[in-house]
Amino acid sequence: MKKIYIISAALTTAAIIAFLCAAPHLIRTTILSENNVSYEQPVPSIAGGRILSQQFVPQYEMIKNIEIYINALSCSRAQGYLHISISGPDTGIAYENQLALSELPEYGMTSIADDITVIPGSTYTLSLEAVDTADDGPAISFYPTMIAANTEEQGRKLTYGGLPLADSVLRASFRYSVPLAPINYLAYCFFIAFVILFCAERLKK
Amino acid sequence: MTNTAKTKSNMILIVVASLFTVLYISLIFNQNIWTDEAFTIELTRKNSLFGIIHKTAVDVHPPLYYIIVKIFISLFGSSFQIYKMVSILPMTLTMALSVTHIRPWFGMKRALLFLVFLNAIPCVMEYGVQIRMYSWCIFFITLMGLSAYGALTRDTFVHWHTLTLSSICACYTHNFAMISAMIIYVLLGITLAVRKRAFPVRWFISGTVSGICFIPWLPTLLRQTGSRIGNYWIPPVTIDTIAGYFDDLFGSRLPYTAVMFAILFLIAIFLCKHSRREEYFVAVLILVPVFTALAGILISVMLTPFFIARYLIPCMGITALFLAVRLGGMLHSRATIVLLGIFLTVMIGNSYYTNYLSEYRSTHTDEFLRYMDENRTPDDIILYNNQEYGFIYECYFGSDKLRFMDNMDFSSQFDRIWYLDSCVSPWLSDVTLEKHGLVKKYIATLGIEQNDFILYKICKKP
Repeated sequence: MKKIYIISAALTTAAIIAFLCAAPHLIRTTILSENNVSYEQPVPSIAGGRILSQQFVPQYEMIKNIEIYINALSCSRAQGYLHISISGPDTGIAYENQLALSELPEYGMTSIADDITVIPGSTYTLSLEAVDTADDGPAISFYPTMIAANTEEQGRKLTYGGLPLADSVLRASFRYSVPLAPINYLAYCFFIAFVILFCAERLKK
Repeated sequence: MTNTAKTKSNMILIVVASLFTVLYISLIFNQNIWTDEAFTIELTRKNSLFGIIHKTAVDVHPPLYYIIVKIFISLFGSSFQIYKMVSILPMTLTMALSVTHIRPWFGMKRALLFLVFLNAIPCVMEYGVQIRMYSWCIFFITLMGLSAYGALTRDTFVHWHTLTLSSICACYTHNFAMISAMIIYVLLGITLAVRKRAFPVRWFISGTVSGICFIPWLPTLLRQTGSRIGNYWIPPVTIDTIAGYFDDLFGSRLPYTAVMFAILFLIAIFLCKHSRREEYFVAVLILVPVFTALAGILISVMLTPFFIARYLIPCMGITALFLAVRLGGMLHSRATIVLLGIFLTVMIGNSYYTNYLSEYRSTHTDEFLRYMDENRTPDDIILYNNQEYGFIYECYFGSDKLRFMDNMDFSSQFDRIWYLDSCVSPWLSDVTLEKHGLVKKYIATLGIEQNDFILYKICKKP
């Protein structure tokens, strides 16, 4: 019987060490930061070089995705794409993506950028442009700053075609992926230890 | 077991059950309610017992829970806390079964494990404090499962009587609790027939009495079901929704909680043996949630989507019983008991914290109500534009001074209007306000339940 406990203890230790190494990457939780409720207004077109840019300050290191409100009901989605870029504090491009208009929903919150590593507290700029479209392309929504700005957009600029849109912020939600507080790992560690010891005892019998 | 040892064991179980009850009670000191809870409040505040039966006949649920609520609020008043206490009571009664049934039949260790498992299942604590019927369903179905076990192993009048009574109560509390009750009867019938190799007469009488007692409600149930075909709010059942049922019940804010519970189920099914022959019926009881889910999926596919994960909550008591009896019987070393105990304690803490956040931190309700308490006078009108939430607002402010946008007469007498603008149609134009010499001032962005709104104060132009 004593042998069982020694083997179980060794296996448990190895499993817990492996778990603790992998946990910060594997076991994460999400935090969502979004606008307050408000009446939105659309930027009718971001085609033809009319770039829409929103400055934002991320709260955590890993952005799982950014969603914006797109309305493509009255535009052709047969051709063209949405060019998304995020430039960092050092003015370099931190993220770039192209979404074919044909892949966009008719309207609604749409994920435009995934898995971006950022420096929390630094200012980034999210730029949106519709390229090679058959017409004006989709409309993008914005909100009044005072009522609806989320933490990332608070006090930051929204510009359209190079000109500031006063007292306005992009309708956007930021979903972060953050590691769990280490105290939570206890649950997994005790569970691993229980399963290994229990199975060892049962198999022995 | 000596009498002293029994008393000591019972005292420990009572203390643990009391502590859990205190945990539940600590979750009710808030003003948070959601749509279904508002329905319960409105139905029971506005109607007599007869009216409740009549109105539930039009809705989709049977009337017993609402009748229980009506009796309680008639005796103790209709504050939100009384409503929530009515839901906590059956949780305490379910835990009391560990003293009355589980300890005498399965031993102290399993009785204690039952209490811990019951409260560690994440969805149980969530629905244990909601102004809905689920905690009563848990009590009736758990009592029924235990009575079925008692009827099988002891075959006394008391157990058959309790089985019949609890099944009738379950049937009159929730339609899917009725399906679970039917499944318990079928499993018991098959077990008795196989074991005794004769037709189980008492089982037949008990089932027939239950069936006859439900006959008065049967036409209503059939009419309700028929009228909802093709126009019910539940989304269609897909492979993804079926795969999500387990996570909905056993998942929590801690990632992979459902996976850990799934592993415990696998261990309980494949690695555990019953320590006494008759205990196999407890293992059979785990088929109740499985067959209830299958029945729900089948109804949803064949008729119209009628089934969601929370309709399995009535089976969570017997699920906890299954885990406690199967795993408890195999926990021989102190180390495994301690490890499982700590793990489940952490899970209870996790479940409690999740529900604490949900009850106290997830909405702006308290903030909004506090502001209104401090600033609203009796002649003020509360105006809203999200029609769906009208009956929720009514639970907080009554109907006298509450106005939906389409019914608002701006030329009537009032001191001030508090406008809850959910930014949906119909909206209030500045032209309308101008016409009546009114002006609106932004106060804050607040909300009730998951319905956020902008709070404006509307007064006469200076």
